[in-house]
Amino acid sequence: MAKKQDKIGFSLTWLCAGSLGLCLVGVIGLLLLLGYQGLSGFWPKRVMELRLKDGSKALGELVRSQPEKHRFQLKIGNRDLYGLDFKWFNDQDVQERSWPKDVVRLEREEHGIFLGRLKALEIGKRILSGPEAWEFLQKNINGTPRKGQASMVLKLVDAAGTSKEIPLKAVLRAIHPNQMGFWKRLGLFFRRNLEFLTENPRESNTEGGVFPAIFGTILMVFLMTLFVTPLGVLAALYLREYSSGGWFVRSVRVAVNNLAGVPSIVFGIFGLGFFVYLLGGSLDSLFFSDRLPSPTFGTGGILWASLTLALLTIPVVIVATEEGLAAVPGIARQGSYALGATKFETMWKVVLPGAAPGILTGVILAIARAAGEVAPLMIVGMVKLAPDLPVDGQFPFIHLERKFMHLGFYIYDLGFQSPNVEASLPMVYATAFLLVVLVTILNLFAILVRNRLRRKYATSAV
Amino acid sequence: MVRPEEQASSGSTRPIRTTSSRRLVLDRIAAILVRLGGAVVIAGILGILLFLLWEASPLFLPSSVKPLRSVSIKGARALSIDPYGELCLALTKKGLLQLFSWKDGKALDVFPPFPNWKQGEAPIVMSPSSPFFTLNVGEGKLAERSFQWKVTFDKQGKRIVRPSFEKVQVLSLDPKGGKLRAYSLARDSEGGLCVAAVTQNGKIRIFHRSFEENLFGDQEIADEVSDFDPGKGGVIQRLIIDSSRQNLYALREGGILQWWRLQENGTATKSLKLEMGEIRSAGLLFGERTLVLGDAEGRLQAFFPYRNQESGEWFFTKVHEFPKMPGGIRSFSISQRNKGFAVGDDLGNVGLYYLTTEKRDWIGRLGKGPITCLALGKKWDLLASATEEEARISEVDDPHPEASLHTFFGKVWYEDAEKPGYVWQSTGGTDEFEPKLSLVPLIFGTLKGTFFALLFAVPFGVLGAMFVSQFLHASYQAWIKPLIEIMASLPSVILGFLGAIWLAPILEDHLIAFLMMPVFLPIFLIASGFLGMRLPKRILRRFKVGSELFVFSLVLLLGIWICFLVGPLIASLFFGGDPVRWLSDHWKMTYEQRNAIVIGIVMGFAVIPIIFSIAEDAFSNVPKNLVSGARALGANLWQTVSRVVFPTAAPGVFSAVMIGFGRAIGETMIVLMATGNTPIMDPNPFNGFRTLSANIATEISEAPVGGTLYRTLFFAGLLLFLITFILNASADAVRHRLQKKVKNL
Repeated sequence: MAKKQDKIGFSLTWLCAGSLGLCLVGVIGLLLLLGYQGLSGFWPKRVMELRLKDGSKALGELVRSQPEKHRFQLKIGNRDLYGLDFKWFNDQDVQERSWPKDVVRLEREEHGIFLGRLKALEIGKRILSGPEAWEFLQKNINGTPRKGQASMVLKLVDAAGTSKEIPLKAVLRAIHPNQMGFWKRLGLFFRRNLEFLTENPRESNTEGGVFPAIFGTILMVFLMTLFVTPLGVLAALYLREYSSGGWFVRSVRVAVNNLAGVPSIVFGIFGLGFFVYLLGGSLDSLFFSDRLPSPTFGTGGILWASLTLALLTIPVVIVATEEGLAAVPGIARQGSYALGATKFETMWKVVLPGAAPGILTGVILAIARAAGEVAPLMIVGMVKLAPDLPVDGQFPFIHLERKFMHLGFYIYDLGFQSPNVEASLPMVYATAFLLVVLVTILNLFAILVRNRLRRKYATSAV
Repeated sequence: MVRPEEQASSGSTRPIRTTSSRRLVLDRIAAILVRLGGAVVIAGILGILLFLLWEASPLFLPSSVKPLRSVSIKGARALSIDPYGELCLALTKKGLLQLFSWKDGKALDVFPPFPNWKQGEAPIVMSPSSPFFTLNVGEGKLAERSFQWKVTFDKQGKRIVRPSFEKVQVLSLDPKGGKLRAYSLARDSEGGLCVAAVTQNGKIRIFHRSFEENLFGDQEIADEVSDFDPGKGGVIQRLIIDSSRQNLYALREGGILQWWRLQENGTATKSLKLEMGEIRSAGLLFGERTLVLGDAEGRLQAFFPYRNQESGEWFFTKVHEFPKMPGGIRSFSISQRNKGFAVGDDLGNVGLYYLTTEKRDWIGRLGKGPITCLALGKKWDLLASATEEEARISEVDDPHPEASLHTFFGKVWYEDAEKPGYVWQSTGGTDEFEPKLSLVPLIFGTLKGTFFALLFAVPFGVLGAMFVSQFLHASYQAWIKPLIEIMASLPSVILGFLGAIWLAPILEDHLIAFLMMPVFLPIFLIASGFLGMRLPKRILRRFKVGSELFVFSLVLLLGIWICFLVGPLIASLFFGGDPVRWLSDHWKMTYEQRNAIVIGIVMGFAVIPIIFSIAEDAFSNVPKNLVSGARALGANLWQTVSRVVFPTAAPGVFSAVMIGFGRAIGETMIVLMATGNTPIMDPNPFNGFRTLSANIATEISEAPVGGTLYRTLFFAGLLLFLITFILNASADAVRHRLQKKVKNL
């Protein structure tokens, strides 16, 4: 009997271990997947040349292969010539694969990448070819001809031999992908990473960088912190130190705790109805009536988005601050009072500094939540492509009414609303990875601060 | 922290008294500030609820009709008001049109619509829907004259509204001059005239006159005539035709209502026996799909034809019955904006009705004696009514007639539908489209998504928490808990994206492998556990408590790999290699790539850490002396957990599940991205759905501010708020009680 019990017991324990194991595998796997997919898009791939059985040729970077279906997908680029970026090939149609050294890969201002071979470079009437042309190309990349100087045009052919002329000024980068060594590739990989972080998006967000989205996210979170920190701390101070207790405070505390569980979309419609239409609408009719009916504040914008997120995250700050306040030992307070300090002085000089790590934890958690939250922002102020940053050199420098770009929304928009989903996938994965890294670092930091806080009081509290 | 030298200096160098009063004032100010700040925040939090309530409440507020002005006018038989509610055109029983202003009641113009009309002839009739008059001239002829309210501006930019009359049209329906027994006339969108009439020989004649401009800019008239036999039955007393010449309704002697579908080849017809008294009013509502009849006892019923989608057969039935008017129906007017209508009765009462809600939005007395005629404003904002003595204009305040608890939660029979149903379809292509606002499919979708998410999350969350709190060595806990916290903080937009772009195609390709896992993985785990027990004790002893976790994670990965390996084999053996096709062939189950199973996995992944952390708390709070006691009495680890720890912590686990439920209900981005977002009610796990939250996210940006859809979405938000708030609050209460109980143990 006992033996059988033991057996059941063991197997259930193993099930428990398996459950937890699956969670761990899931989290780590997800992070690895995002990391791999996000970063591999930046890695310069080799370009394959196919000779098909029907005699035609094709150039492309291998995107994925499905051995069980006997086919593979290449990114063939040259959207202006073929109309599509990706193409599937069946294994049986392929006669020969090769990786020719002379293939060039151009990143251009429009139509995505170009894959082909460089024939010549025309500078007015001068014609360069071979390594000479390549050298000149590398020196004058994205170069606009100076006044009076003749135009510079690249003469290229694609895999099938179709010739194509591209002005030099439209070329952003030219490489020989099959001639590069590991270190060269690594260098380009890092340069591309840097471009991703610092440049504006190009070609309806399928290429270029995500700088405006990073900037928008940070600015919005920063504004939100400005609202949420003082208000959250004040509310927590009131609840724990200044209120007289009783059922009212208890129920308020329950309400605050539960507000954290209210779906974010509810905050979104509240923000839309209250901030955008009610407050924004009234602001417009009071101060910007000359611009009506086109709204100034009466439409989604960064101010309203950050206020909405401040409301969403205020419970986090309140709860964490209260925890921090509670962790300050009563003895410290009593000591302060005994020395003649007023309540305010005790709060300001003893309690709040003691609770600072708690407050910090709350603020960091709030920031992490805000950085990843998309649903409420979708309706109160984000756009897929904001032409202007909310901060610029024009008075009043910070334009709180402007719409902005946001990393999370960028993922949603690019992955689902983009006309060319397949071409934008590397960008989406990279953005997702960036966002996950950001949020994870913030959270780890908050956990670290909290653990130190706990340890400190575990030893100091008597 | 407090710096001692500061304290000392403030105490010694300055006189204590002055500093003290300044400090006291500062203290007072700070206290006020903190209270104020606290109050603002708390008010703001409560304000969210109040604001949502305030935005949603107009949906359910009673409507009102406020009489504005009345004008003395004798014997009005028909009314028409201009779009601004400034003027009124009244047709009196003497056959005269009186144009007057509501402001002062001054008559602006009096003239006959048909100049040669004499009293005692057939009456002039005004259509309840579009502004035109008709007259049965006799000898098989009908006269028609229509008008429009024209708006012009004078030199000062002042608005002038006047009716502008067209030429009188004489339609010769029976060239032989036979008497027309009943007739109905409608004007189509191009201004053409459609007439149905019963001719002397008992046939129904359908007549259509269209006006086309020829090359010289002159109007050319083209008439089109066709006849059909109404068949046997009582004498036709009244005919109603729609302007598209598709549906014809007839009231026949003996209380029979007959309907014909007029088509190019042949006519479908259905007739039914009315359960009504003498029919006093009949008219087609906006969109011309529904016929509303009113009888002498105040009954009101609505009828429409519909078609069975599969067989193509037509049906015609009574669809709605409305609350009775106190007196017999006397007058009737339809709204030009929605499916609303107004009726007046013999006792001077006027009622405002709405078709789909079957509700009477308002009833009240608007005069002494019978209400002889009614006219509704273009925007469902004004109502003109008249008795024998006077005409009156009233303001209608009924902004959301289509909203009611019944439309949100009940089965509604919409036009063209075969049967009552729960439908969400907020926007449509045409002006006549009626928004269908049932929240039931959305609630169903929400619950479906939540169910699958919890199905996945509850076992993993609870078992994982149990493992961490009871079996895992403390040194491992220190880094597993942060990992779970990171899992909790993963932005849902990323989970949704991965679910839709990465997981959904894999699931479709490896459906069998995924379906195998819930059965195969536990068996595989346990089997490999027993296999592991056979290892020499020497090796086993080296592991810390709980380190089987890492072994089992690897075993799990191996198991998943086996599933992926075996899955295609099973698929080709039993399901013809393509389980998705097999499903639709054998079970008629649609397979959508972004389905409830994807949601279950992805949303479950988002919910696991929430359930985990609360359940873990509950397990860890079980007093250690209970555990030690059980162990001391000889129970093994598992017995202790299942007999002592779990029962003690059960309420906490329950509250963890509730909070997870709350999170899953409100999750937006995952369901928005990883389902098809179609508001259908299909329990099929391979089909998609739409949740309340995703619905808000997709539709609020297109909803006009203050409109019914806008407020309905706020109402949905309020529902979400209340559901999650109540769930969380009760989970909180459960947890607190548990904590108290555990403290006393």
